[in-house]
Amino acid sequence: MNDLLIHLALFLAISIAIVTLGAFYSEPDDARALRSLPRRLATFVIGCVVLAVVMLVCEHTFASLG
Amino acid sequence: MSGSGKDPQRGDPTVATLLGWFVPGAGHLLLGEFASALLAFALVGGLYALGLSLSGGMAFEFLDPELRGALAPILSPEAGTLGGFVWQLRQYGYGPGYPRLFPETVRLGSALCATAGVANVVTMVHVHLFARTGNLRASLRPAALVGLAWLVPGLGHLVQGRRLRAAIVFTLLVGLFAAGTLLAEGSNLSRERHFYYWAGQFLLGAPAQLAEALFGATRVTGPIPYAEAGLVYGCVAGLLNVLAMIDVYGWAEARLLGLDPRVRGGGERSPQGEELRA
Repeated sequence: MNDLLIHLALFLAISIAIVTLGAFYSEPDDARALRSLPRRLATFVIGCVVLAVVMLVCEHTFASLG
Repeated sequence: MSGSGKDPQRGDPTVATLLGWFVPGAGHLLLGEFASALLAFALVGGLYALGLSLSGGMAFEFLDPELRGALAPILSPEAGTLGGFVWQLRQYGYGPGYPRLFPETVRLGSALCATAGVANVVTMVHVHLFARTGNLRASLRPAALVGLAWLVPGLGHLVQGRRLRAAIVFTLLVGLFAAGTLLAEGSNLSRERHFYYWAGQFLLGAPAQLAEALFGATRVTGPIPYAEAGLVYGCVAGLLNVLAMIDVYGWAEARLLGLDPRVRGGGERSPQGEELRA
């Protein structure tokens, strides 16, 4: 459980860097890029969660040794 | 965005850029700039040749035997100068097929070859803009800014006067790389251990190279719990710096062409670019 929390924290930390650079890349104006960060971060994290769930379902369905 | 209205194009930017990718300076030669062509060839070719000499051409032997294929090292920074990359692959390849000692200067040599790849990208930026604008001197600034953005994350933004963005880019990317190095306990600072992760990390420029020079020889003496997370952090930091470099280029290009860099797509074009006018 502790390890899971650490991995989630690591994921959130790298997400902030990815989303911020993505915002700067697509938005030349600093103020607008910074304002869009919460929405972008939420979209990124939710997208990753959906992807993780799909992968877990696929693993459980098609690759389970049980 | 296309070339400026007043200054005619010197040639096809795509052809000039692709030629420059194959042979450093070939694009400049196509556009009739012999001195620039010679300078680009001497700079990039010289760096590559020095790197090959110091590494004995053994950098691709860092790849694990099971990963060695015809184009397996194509994701290396050396591929920034395709002619040199192909020459190295054909001339040295993966060595004689049996393990042998690397020369002591192999790390410096492989870093110089990789730097030659990035340096050639800078000359390609220059020849691309020169072909579009016909102004050799004004095209130098965007190319130099891209080089600075690679060398130190955020430095290109800083020179452009975008201080807030420069500070955020530097803090995030160098912080991410430092966190990755701590998590991996320095094991990420080795091309021999992690050929592909190193290639991504190299794109962070001087901070990654400096860290490797200082701590790259750290021995791994036991399990490292978060080594993989550290590798990903270091590699992603380098890859994100490419976005920062493109951002710097876009801003400089817009200014060169007389467009408003704060408007996506450039907005209204002035009769002549700011840099060209200067």
